[in-house]
Amino acid sequence: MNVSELSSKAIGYTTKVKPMKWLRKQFAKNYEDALAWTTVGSIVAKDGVGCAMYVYQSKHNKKIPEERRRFVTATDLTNGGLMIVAQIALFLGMRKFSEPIFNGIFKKLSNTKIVNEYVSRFRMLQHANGEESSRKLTLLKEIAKYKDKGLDTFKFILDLSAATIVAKRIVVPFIAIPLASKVEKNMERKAKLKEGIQDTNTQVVSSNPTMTHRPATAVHPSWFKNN
Amino acid sequence: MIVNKIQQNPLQQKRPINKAAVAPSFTGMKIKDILPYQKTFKWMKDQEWLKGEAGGILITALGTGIVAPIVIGSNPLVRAPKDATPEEKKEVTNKKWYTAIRQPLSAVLAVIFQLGVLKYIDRFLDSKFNVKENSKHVDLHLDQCEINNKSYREGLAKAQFKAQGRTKPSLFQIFTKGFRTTMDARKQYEEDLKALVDDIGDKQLQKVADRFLESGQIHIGDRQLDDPTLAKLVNERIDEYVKDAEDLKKKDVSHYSRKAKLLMGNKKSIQEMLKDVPKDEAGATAYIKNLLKNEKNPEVREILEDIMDRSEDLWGNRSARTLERIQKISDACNNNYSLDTYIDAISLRNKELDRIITKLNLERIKDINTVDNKTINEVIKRVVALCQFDESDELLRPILRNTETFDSNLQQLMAKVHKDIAKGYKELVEHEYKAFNQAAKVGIGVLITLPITCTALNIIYPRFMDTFFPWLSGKKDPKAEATAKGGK
Repeated sequence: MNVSELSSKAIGYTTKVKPMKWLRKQFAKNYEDALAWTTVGSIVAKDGVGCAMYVYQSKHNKKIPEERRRFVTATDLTNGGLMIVAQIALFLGMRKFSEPIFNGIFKKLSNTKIVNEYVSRFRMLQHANGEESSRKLTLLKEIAKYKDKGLDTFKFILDLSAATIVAKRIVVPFIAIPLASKVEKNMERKAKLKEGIQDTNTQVVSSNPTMTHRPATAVHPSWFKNN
Repeated sequence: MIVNKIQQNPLQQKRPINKAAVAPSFTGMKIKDILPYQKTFKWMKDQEWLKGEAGGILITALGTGIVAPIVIGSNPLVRAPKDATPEEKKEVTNKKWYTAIRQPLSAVLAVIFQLGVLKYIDRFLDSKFNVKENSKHVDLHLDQCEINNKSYREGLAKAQFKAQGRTKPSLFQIFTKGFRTTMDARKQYEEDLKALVDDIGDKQLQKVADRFLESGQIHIGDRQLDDPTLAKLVNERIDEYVKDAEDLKKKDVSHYSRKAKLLMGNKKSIQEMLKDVPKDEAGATAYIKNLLKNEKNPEVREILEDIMDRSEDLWGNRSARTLERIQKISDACNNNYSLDTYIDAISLRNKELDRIITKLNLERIKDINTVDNKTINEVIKRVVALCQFDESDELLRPILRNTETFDSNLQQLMAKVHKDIAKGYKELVEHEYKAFNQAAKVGIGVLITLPITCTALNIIYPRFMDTFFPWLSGKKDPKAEATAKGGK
C-alpha cells in the first residue's frame, strides 16, 4: 500500500467518525448558519488555545516577580475569557440585525412595489424583443435568489466583523484591564486569607499599573500580546 | 409559440425600451441583469470565497492589523501615574506603541502562514474527494468523483486551456503590450475560464441526471446513492413543487373580485380610453395624466390612479396589462361575466391547485429508512404525472403554463424532475464536503499553523522592532553610547 492510498484510507476513516457525521448533518440542515458558527468557533478556539498557553506560561514564568505574576495571570485569564464571551455575544447579537441592516441598505430589493416594477420592465423587454413574457412568479423567484445570495455573503462578513473586530479589538481591550484588576485583588485576598495575613490597601494599589509609582515597564499587560 | 389574444392588441406593439433596461443584446438576458445594485452584488458574489476559514482568518487579520494598533496605542486606561516624570510618561507611551506595532506584524504573519496554507489543503483534499480511485474510501455523501467541486473543476479547466496552448497572460506583459491590452486579456481569460468551469459542472450534472433517468439510481463511481438519502431528496423536490403550486393560488379573493368589479363595471369606457395610449413613453405619460385630469367617474379614476401608481416608464405597459386583465376576466367567465361567476372561477382555480397539492403531498415518502429503490422510482413517475397538464385543458393550461414546475410534455418533465433530484444531490454533497473541509482547516489551523505563526512572531517581532523602531524598544544607540563614554 503506497502513501497516497494510505492517506486516502485515513481521510476516508475520518469522514465516517461520529463527530464528523454530526457536523455534516448540521451543514446539510442549515448550511449558512453552520458555516458561520464553525468560522466563529475556529476563531474562538484559537483564542482559547492562545489564552491557555499564556496563562500557563505566565503562571510558571519565574522571571516574572511573584507579586506581579498573579496580576499577569489574572489579566491573561480575564482577557482570554472576555474575548471568547464577547465574540460569541456580539456574533449572536449581530445575527439578529444583519438582515434588517441589509434590507435598509438595499431598500429597492425589499420594496414589493419596486420589485414588481422590475418584473414589469423585464416583461416589457421580453415583449419588445418578440419573446413570450415570463410568469411573474418565476421572475419573483429569480429576484429572491439574487437577493438571498447577496444577503448570505453580507451577513457572513458583517457578523464575523462584529465579533472579531468590534468585540475583540475595541470592546474587550477597554473592559479587560479594570476587570483584571478586580480579579487580581480577589486572587490576592484569597492568597492572604490562606496565609492568615490581613489585606492591606498599599499592596493592592501597588500592583495596579495605572496607579503604581514604579516605572510602567515593571508591569507588562500581556493582553497586548494576545493574538 | 402560442399565439395569444393579447398580442393582437395594438397597445402590445413594440414599445421603446426603457432607459433603465437598455442592453446591447437581449438574447440570454435574465431579470438579474436589470436589477439594481448590480456592481455591489457582483462584488459580493466574488467574495463568496470568504465564507469559511479563509474569511475568518482575513477578517481577523484586518482587525488585528488595523484596529488593534490604534486601540492599544491610544488606550487611555494604560497610563503613567499623575506624578510621573516626563521620562516615565514617555516610557509608557513607547511601551504602548511598542506593543501596538506587534499587531500588524502578527496580522501579516497570520495571512502568510494561516491563509497561505489553505490553498494547499484544498488541493490535497480535492485529490482525495474528486478522483475516483481515492474518493471510493470516503463516505458516500462526500464523494465528488461524479460532480466535482468548483476548485477541482478550475484545475481541470486550466489543464484544458493549457493543452490548447492558452495560459493566463502574465502581468509582465504590461511592459511589452501595454496596461489596457494586458488587463483586458487577463479579464477575458478569467471570463472564459469561468464559463468553462460552469460548462464542465453542467455537463457532469447532466450526465448524472441522464444516468439516473435511465437506471433509477444516482451512481457515484462504482457505488450508488443510498435509498434513504434518495427518498429524502425526492421529498424535498415534492415540497418545492407543492410550494410552487401554493404560490399560483389566488389567495386574496376579495382583492381580485373587487378589481374585477371595478374593471368590468367600467369595461367599455376603459377599453375606449386605453386603446389609444401612445407607444412612446413621454406620449403615454402625458396621455394618461390628461385622462385622469378629465375623468369624473371615481371608479375609473381609481383605475387610472392604479396605473399611475408606478414609475412613469411603466404607465403605457400597465395600460396594456389592464386591457389584458379585462380579457382574462371575460375568458374566466366564458364571456358571460358576473361577480359570482368570477368568484366561482377563482375558487375553481384554487380548488384545482389544491387537488394537485394534496396529491403531491400524498406522494411524500413517509418511511424513508425502509423504502426501496423500486418504490422511489414509482413515486417519481407519479409526481411527474401530477405535474403534467393537458394543452387542451382550458382550466389548467392558463394556470400552469410557463411555470418552472408544470409542463405538458411528459418526456421533458421526466428529465426535468430527475435533474432536479440530481441538483439536490449535488447541493447535499457540496454542503457535507464543506463541513469536512472546514473541520480540516480549523484543525490544521489550531494545531499546526497557529503555533508556527506564534513562533515566527516571537522570533521576528523583537528583531523587527530593534531594526526599525529602536527608540520604542529602548535599545540604546551604540554610537551615542561610545560618544558619551569618550566624552567622559
